[in-house]
Amino acid sequence: MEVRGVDRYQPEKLAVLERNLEEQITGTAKYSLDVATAVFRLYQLQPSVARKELIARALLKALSQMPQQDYRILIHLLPERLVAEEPVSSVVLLAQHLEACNLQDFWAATGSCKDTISKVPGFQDAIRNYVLHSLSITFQRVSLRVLGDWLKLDSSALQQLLADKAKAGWKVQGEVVCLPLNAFNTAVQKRKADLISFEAVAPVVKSSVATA
Amino acid sequence: MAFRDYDPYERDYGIVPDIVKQFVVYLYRHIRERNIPEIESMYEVSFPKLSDRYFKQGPWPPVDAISDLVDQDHVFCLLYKELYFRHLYAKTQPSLRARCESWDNYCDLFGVILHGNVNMLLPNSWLWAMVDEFLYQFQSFAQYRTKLAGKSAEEIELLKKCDKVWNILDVLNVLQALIDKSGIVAELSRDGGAELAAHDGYIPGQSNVLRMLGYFSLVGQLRVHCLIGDYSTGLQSLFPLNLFERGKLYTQLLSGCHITLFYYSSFAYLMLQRYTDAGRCLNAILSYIHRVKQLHARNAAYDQILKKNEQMYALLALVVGLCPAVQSTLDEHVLVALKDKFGEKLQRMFRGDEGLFDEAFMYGCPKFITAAPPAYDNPSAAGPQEAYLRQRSLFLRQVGGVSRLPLLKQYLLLYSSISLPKLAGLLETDEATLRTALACLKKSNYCLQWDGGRDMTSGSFTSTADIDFYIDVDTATGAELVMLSDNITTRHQAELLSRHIVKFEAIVRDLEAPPVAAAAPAQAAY
Repeated sequence: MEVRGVDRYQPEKLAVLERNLEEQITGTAKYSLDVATAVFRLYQLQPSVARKELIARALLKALSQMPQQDYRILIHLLPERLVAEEPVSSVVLLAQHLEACNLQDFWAATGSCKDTISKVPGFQDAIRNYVLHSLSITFQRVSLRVLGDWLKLDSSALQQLLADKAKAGWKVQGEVVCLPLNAFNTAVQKRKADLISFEAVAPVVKSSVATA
Repeated sequence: MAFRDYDPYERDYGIVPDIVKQFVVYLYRHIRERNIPEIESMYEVSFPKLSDRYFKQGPWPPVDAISDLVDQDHVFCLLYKELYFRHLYAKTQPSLRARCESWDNYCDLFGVILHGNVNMLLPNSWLWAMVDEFLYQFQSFAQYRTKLAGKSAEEIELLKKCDKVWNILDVLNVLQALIDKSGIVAELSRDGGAELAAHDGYIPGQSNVLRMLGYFSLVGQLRVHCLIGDYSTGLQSLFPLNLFERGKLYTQLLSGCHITLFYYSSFAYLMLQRYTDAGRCLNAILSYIHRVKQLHARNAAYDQILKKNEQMYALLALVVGLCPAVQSTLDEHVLVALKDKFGEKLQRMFRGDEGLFDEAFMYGCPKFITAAPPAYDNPSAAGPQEAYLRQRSLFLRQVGGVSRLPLLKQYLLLYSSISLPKLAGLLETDEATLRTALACLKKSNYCLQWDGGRDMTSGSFTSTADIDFYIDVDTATGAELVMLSDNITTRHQAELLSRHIVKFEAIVRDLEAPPVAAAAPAQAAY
């Protein structure tokens, strides 16, 4: 659902937008950040109509878009009073752990908002994808044990996941997993050899022509 | 603290100075005759001069005192009132009544422009000032109504009744209506603003009022969205203005507009953690101000420009503090000025001093507002600083995430490869924490950067690291190693050498010149 131009500022449309947002969360409608932004903006204008559990779910949905900045965009719109109470506050705590890459605490904290998470299908998988992505920009190889800790998966589930990812370049060699190489996890010897630009030597050429 | 409330209907304006009457009559005549140079000169020179001479402490005569001179022309009276209220806000603390009346005036004025068929010409600087002042008064009202502590009960009652006044949705809807009605988006998408820039904003044969108001409302929307913390919509609403391909950007001709555009854009990028984009915008605008500063030295706007300049250097310090790699993309003089103003503080920011980030943020940030009206029945619930404190706490959290990393970076700089346990020992932490910190460091350098296209919020991820590393596992021993890349820079001497060559040749030339001319240059060489 597109929210452009004058649609952004119509409080009468709040119900329509909320419905679309719910559909996005359950996966029946295509994801669009604009709708959540519009809903949150209207909530800032009238905090009394804000539905906290919808906020919590929408934030989780945005968080699952990491590394895109959707969560950051939404959280700036919410005033303190909407964020201070459950269920939004535990989602905010979750997000803080995730942004700090504190995965032990993150997985531990998911226990406290199990209800909200269960209403956002695909959240855990999306987060695992994001963790794999962060790993792939930092590591070239990582031990299975670390991988299991970060993804909070036991060994059989982990093997299953890695089997699925084998096509994308993830290979298991004994206790070590090799990650696909990309621009971020390879050492590039940057030789910043600046070519000599013409502007740099132009004055010399000019003066030698003048004296010739 | 007593405010000086100017209620125009109580003051006796028996005598309007003759010169003021003349000003009004001439202004009216020039507007009717669409004589732009004259209108511009009256607006930019005569109006401030008369304000200074006759109305230093108080307002201009109310519109009723002068309406006979202009045949009660409705549109001119609206324009006059716009100037009147602008002056009132600048010189005095406006009462609630004055604020409401100014709001009504703006509604009427924009209503006429949107629905009537206006064919007058007005200077673009006036049109920009109209939008700018409109938003300034909106901001001022939003802050005024949250300051419940100093107000009496009846004032609060009156405020409750004025909930339609300066309502944010109405403000945004007005801006949107101006944008839609003027068709500016279609026009700019078609030719990128070439026609506008070619004619200096005044396309011959047409009224420039609606079109330019539409144009300036694009910048206005960015501003309002940033004030409520809606950064991405702000950047989206700029479409189709392009911040990074500025060749045909009309705003360059109006410094106030250009500065506002870039100030809010770079702030939005900063809050969205897009440091390279923020750095680019700040670099562009600070170079611009450096170039045009002198032209405005006598202008009333000079102080404003200087203040914004200082604020933007504070924002640049924040950007550089969070992403040191940005320094290499800045122009020479911008970098030098930044080091002048923040040199030692920057070093402390690199080492993670959060207090300095806080200080710079407080100075550089815009005056945020909350969209919702305050809880009138509960004055202590949330103060006027609520919006600012919220954005500040989110920003400081962003800073806190990276402020513990500088020590790690310093150790990494010393090695080309180091085993994880050894590094953990050096930092006196355990391996799990270290792994987290390394991943965090890598993540903090993984930024979105604009890479083309009309959408200012689009971009692709790039690395903005000043040190590159990755973690590997040595297959033989199973030990984890942190491998760093070398950045080898071959210094290029070409520029330095050619400069010296030219200087040397000049000296030699002077020495070999005929004796008469040689005497003076030979002395000058020393």
